[in-house]
Amino acid sequence: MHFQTDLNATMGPPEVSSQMGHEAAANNGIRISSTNDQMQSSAFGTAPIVSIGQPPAPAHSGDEVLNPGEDNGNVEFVLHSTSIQSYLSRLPVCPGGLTS
Amino acid sequence: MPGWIDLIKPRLQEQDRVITLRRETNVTLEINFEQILEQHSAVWSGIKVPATGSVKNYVDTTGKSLLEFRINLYGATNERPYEKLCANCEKRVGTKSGIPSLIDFKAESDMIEPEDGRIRVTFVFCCYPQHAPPADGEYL
Repeated sequence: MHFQTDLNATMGPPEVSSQMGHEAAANNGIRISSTNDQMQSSAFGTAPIVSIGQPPAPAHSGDEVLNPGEDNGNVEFVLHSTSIQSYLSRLPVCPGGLTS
Repeated sequence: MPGWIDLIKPRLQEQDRVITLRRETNVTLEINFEQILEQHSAVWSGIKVPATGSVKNYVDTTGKSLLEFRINLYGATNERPYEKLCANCEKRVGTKSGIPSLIDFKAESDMIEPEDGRIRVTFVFCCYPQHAPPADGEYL
């Protein structure tokens, strides 16, 4: 399992967008997924929160295509208050966690 | 990483762009709690993490104003949340510490208060996304 560490996500209240640009392949040839996430309202449990609702875009032309069945996943870090807003960061997880 | 949260462990080298995480790798994040409080003129006294197997004590948080911290893992293209361990990992983890969870927080208490304006959260992933059954038709 890998973390991408150089995302350009931002924090902020619900109306603030978080743009994660297309990322080049990292060292050791592991694909870092391209994302163009947009914060949007969502639900977390019963409490209203802000969430990034879209997963990374599917492989684009020029992107390295993942192996079949290898779903990389994304990690969200969520801090939320039941009363106001949340902070959220979403980090793609890259493949490779089973290589050892 | 966005401004309110930093990756403390595993340590990043300057040239690193990807960190390999394994089940036995403790991941430590540092939340800039002071920054959050300042930006929102809030009076939260700390955070509450899920009471997973490695959280040693459960605190009575009645009357405390806390932010809840969650880590969610999603499929990259199928959008599905990963919430459970695969059968093999569940067997490996066992049930000695309660119901196995995909992410296990390592903490003295499920409530963590800031020290010098910052809060450190340590956890491990107990399973990998690749353990989930293939459901990503896009690549099949």
